[in-house]
Amino acid sequence: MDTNVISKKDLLELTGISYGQLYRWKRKNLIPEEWFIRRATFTGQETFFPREQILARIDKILNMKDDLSLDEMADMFSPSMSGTSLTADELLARNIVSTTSLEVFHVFLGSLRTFTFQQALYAYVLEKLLAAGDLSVDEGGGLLQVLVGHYPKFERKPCELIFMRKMGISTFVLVSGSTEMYFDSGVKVVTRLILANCIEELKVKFL
Amino acid sequence: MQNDNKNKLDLIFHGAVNASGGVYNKVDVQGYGKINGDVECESLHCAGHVSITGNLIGSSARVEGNASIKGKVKMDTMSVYGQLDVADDLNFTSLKVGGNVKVQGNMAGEDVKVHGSLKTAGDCEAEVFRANGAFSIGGLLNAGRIEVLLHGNCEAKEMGGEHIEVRRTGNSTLGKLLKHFLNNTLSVETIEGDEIYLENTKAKVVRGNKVEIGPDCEIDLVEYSTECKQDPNSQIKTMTQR
Repeated sequence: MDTNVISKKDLLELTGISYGQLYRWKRKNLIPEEWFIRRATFTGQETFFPREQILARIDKILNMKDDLSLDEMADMFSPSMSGTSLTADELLARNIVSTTSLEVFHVFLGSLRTFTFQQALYAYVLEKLLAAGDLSVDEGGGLLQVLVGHYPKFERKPCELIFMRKMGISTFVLVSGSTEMYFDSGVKVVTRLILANCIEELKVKFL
Repeated sequence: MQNDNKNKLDLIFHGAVNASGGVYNKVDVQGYGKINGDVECESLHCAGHVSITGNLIGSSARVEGNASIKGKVKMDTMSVYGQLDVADDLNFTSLKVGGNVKVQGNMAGEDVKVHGSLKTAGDCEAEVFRANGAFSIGGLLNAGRIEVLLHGNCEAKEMGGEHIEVRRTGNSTLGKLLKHFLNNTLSVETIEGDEIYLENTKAKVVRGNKVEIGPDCEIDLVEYSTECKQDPNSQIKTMTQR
């Protein structure tokens, strides 16, 4: 049996939630449609979920349930951008970016007084990669260019950022969903980021 | 809002008219109308025949004749006493089906009442789904509360929710005589919910916390966690507690 997925039955048993809750969360778009994977089994068709993602999501829903309404949570989990904007100082104060990455951001995209959610996301992704030591300051330009130039095209769809190097030359790719990708042996994949997760993290910091 | 409406025109059809889409206050079709493009309106009333080649957005719609929409439909309150065909998704707050509604895509809303017949190729999501007529749902019927009173054949691929209740209609003498001709059953592959009560249902799998299988059901597998009751007139192949 595939260990990356979990059956609906096992999921409910493991997390202690009821069918009703699961279906209500699906209705409220707290659990995305594409996570419901239907497969034929010997008892007919069964529904499976991507194990890591669904367990993390249910954990979050259960933890936030007391503080936020279902609609507020749905808004938070949705990969669409909320309309809020922040100033550069607020971004610093909320630990979304450090002064270093803010400077890098300004070098490549010009000085901004207020950041839209989308711009804050780009700055946050830059900060994440710089802080992890995966990215050099010079490579920041390439990253920002691919995000600014192509990320809006994904609209609400799930999207992954892949950062790879071959013989010291770095490349950034944005791919939709869970595409399988294979590279030649000289390529080192430095990091893969699911941008929906970054949006979620950022929304928590915005609250 | 009042001022807004004053600036918008009414679109009224008497006879056969071709019109272009746009933003209107009131759309009233008494004859035969064809609208090219998207339509946005406060209210739509159709007593004749209307076909719209684009999307339909608005706050209330009442279809007494025949309406066919090639795009998406988004309406707060809808009531259909004639026939409505939607080639894409249908979104609403409350939907009353007195006639016939066919949806090629998915439908989602708060409240659904079916007295006529409802057919959708995709999923149907609502907080409350009450059916007193016939329905056929190609995907998942997902609602907080599902109440079905069987008139005619009902079918869905999957049903899921908190409270699911399926009952046959009253035990009249005529009903008993016609029982063999009018085989009023619900056919579904999987039913999952917290509290389930079923009558006249054919299903492969029924899973729930509290499950009660009433008369005239044929079910391959019942899985329950707290409580299960079975009517002697029903066939259940396997029953397990988990």
